[in-house]
Amino acid sequence: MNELDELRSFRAGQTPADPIAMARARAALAAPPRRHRRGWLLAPVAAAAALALAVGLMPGRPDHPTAVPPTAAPDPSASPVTRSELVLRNAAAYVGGTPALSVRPDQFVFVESIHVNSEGPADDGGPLVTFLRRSWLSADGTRDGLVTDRRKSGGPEERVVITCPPGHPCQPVYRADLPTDTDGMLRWFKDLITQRYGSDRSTKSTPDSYAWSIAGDLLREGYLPPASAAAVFTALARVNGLTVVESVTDAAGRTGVSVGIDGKGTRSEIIFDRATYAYLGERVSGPGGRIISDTAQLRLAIVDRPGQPG
Amino acid sequence: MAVPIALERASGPRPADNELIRHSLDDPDAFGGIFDRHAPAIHGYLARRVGHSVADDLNAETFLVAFRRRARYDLAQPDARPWLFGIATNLVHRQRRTELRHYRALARVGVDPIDDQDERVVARAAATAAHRRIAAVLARLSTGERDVLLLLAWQDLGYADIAAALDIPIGTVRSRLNSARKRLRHALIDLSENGSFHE
Repeated sequence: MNELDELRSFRAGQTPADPIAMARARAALAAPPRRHRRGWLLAPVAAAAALALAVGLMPGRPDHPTAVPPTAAPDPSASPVTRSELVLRNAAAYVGGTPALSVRPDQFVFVESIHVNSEGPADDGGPLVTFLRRSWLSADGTRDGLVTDRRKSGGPEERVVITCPPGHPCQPVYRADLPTDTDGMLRWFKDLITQRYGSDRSTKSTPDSYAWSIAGDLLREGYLPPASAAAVFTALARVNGLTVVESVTDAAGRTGVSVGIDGKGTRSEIIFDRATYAYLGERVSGPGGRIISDTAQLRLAIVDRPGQPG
Repeated sequence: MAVPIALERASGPRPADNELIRHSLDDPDAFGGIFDRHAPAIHGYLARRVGHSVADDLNAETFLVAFRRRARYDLAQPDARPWLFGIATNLVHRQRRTELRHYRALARVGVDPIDDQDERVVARAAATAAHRRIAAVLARLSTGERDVLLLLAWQDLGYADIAAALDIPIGTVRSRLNSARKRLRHALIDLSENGSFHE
């Protein structure tokens, strides 16, 4: 028996992991902090900045709003694409007019939001649970971040430290390096799609859901300068197959107008304020309009350290 | 998260890790397949280094971190183990004091503190002399040497995989391993010469 064999027998025969702990760890991948990632939705960015301002720009309502009755199940034929373009352009105009927040690389983007998710590891229509979620993520991706979740129904707060060690930085959540014009943003999307998914995807004429996915990852719990955030919206306005629902209620109970895209049996929507076109939240629904996840952005702020209230 | 399971059942050969990860960029639930495949080994590794209860947390965190970084996974690599063990090892470093305290306690009193919650603790109460000495060596190795040695001995990772996991040159893996094995051998030498590792 050499020294390596002896070391192999050291602490060998560990008890298998507690199945409950394992199930919990697996579910956490899809649970509140992560579940909303399945929604290819534009997130927070603009939103919070927008909400933080009591009064912002009030882009004009579209000249000819399409008359569509409020409905849980979107009807693509009822909402012409032009309407979705108008909503997204108005959203771009709104966020583009918000003052830029000043962000240092060593700071954190703090986002507070309400999340409603179906309970359990599967999206099979389990009971819906409401969480208050707070996230503090490193602006330049080089510092450990923090995410906390608290159930509305009570119980302990769940805390997850997001580690970003030297040599393995996290994705920066403050992106000052992105294009500020629509064409530039579309090119940036396309390059990233090639990089992530391979050229076969980017050369397809309509890599639409991929662009939405990228936009969601980019903006969900991050902050973009207003001009770049506006470019994201105007770039998304060129995505094919978007539909509008004129009256929806977000996770915080606010009424808005949504723009969405359908794919793989789910529909992903961004919800905007009906008057200002400020970002309110996002939701993902399955067949029959069943809610898979529903989020409402409450606050966004730039802070110096994780855990610091915005 | 039925997708990866269904996917594995439906198709004959199971998809490689990089295929699952690539799929998970589009459908995040597919990442559950990576968890199912590797979490038992990751948890086992963590439990061996820092004990079960800490391992529960670090295992969950390992996969959360991996999930969050999956877009930057090198899709040319079919085996995600080096990547996952690298993340897990980094997380262990935050528990370094706990890990070392346990090794030292085991070396000193012959009882492994990480077994405290285990019903079999009675059966394993008296560590062998060899294991006490191993614990003493592990407590004295540099963090880098300990990482290399344990990934090799416990996880059977090859030199290249260890280099990838720890993001160090393969030559560094070799030199750390040589040094660590030498110290281990030296600590065990008299037991070995007696023909038995047991007192």
